[in-house]
Amino acid sequence: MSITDVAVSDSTDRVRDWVRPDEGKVLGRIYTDPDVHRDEIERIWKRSWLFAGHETEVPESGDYVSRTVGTVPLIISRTADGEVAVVINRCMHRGGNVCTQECGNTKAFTCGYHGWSYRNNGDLLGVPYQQAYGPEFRKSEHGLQPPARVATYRGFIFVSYAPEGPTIEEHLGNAREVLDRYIDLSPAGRLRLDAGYNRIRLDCNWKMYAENSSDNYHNNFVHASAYMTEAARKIALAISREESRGVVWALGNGHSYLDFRNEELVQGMVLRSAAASGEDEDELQYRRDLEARLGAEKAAQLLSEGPPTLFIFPNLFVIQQDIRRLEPVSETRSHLYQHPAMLDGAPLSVNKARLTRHETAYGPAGFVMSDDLEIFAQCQQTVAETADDWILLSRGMRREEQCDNGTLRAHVTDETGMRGMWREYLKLMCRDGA
Amino acid sequence: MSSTNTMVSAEEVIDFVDHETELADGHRLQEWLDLWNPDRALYHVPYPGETPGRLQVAIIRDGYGQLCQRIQRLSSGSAHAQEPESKLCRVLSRTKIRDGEEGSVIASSNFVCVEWRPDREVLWAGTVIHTVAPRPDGGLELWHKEVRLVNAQKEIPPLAFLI
Repeated sequence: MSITDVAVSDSTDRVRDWVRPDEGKVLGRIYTDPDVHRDEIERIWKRSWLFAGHETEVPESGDYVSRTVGTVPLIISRTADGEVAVVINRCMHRGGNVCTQECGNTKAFTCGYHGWSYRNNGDLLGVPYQQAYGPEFRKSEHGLQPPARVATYRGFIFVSYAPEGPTIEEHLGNAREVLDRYIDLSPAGRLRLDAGYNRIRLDCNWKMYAENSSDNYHNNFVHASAYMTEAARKIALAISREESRGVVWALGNGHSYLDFRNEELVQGMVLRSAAASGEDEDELQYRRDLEARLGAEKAAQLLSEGPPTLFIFPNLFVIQQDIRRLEPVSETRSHLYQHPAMLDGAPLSVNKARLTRHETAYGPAGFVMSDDLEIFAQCQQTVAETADDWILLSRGMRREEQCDNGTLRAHVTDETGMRGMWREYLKLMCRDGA
Repeated sequence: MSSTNTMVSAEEVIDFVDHETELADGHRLQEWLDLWNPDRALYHVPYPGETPGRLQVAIIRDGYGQLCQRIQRLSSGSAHAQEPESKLCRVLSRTKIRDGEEGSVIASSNFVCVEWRPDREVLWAGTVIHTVAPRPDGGLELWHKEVRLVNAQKEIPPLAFLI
């Protein structure tokens, strides 16, 4: 592509034509077009709030993790004064890599190319043979750059590469209260993402995965092999078919929520997902500790409802036992990181049970996840081969209910959450002047 | 070969490892499950840097109950990730044998495994560590199988077959 092609390849008109949530359809090309992908990186991934990590991944002074978040390499560190610093992993000299390890503990990062070194808060420490830059060279002007904005919400670290935009609270919007209900399952009111994470290669476009995060229609078909006991099978079948009393919400800002609070079949059952099974002393202690912080009524409510299934556009998905970060790699490939979410203050056996449930069901070898991954890959492949055909996204359009706070709700098997995501997508991709 | 275990010969251990490999490559699921000691079974595919005593996620960490569930699911015919079954061919080499605890013997090998599916070929490689022990009525049984993938730190596609 030459520079004279740039104006011609802007995807705005194509996106408007291909993405029609109000008609319940999108064109296959939206998952395959490289110009669309390039524009998504600029207009969504370089502007939105992206989930980057969790404060509990760097508990001790000097701890760091490094990872690419929305195509930009970052380092998240715990500084000497106890704060969390986020910097871009790029030497200010010639763009080299200052941190080559995925995680560790260090007082300084050093670029392998010319030895420039930086404190973990980004301050430039040392420039070899600095005299050549003259007396006017100010180290303070050449520290590692932070992303334009960094915000934390109850331990969740978000970044945005756009200097202006909504606050993180504004972005979370109606999803904030739902996320709170997950975090509040911890007796300390805090999750711990300190048990490592799975790394998954998705052979599909990131939007295909995002759609699946509000899909409660697929379970009985994709996951038919996943239910090991008759009891589990009956419950799983019931909550994902027409008779279920679950609800899907489009929360606004592209977020979606699979809400099982009315679904009696999973009440109490999710307690066994949140806590060790059986009424043993640890489970009782966990319940007592939760009541101590929240009061008996709220604790009982949260324990009954369990962890919400919540997608926060564009890259954060929280589900039963884990927190997921989605990254766009190309139009046909994405990466997914699954961090088991331990409940701070809960007994070890409760968290161990959560971890075990996560390990068996999720990760690339999990009995739930591996079938999802296969279906996504097949779907991406078929869509790519038939890209001029429409994807039907109309399920539930006739029975959506508009609510006062700007949310839309429908039956839990409906595609309302996905249409909500596509509407936000259109707003970001087709801005005037973009 | 540096096992001093007089109950188990090095040749028997290698034959067992070869047999386990053949069963896994051939998706002979029930026969593979029958190799395991139900009271001791651990099938473990860790991420690098796993340290004892901390809660850390692994790619696979199956006790016997979970192994049974894995085999049940793969035998069901409705596990999309193995419909059709992956075509597998793996090679083990550089097997080193040493004594384990409680009369067991540990065999560490390098492996390369080619997985072919209709839409992709994946090269898996790493170290596989088998802990085996004699059965009271003859033959050997499997206590632990640990697989350290060389690319465990990377984003990987579904790992739905017996690695």
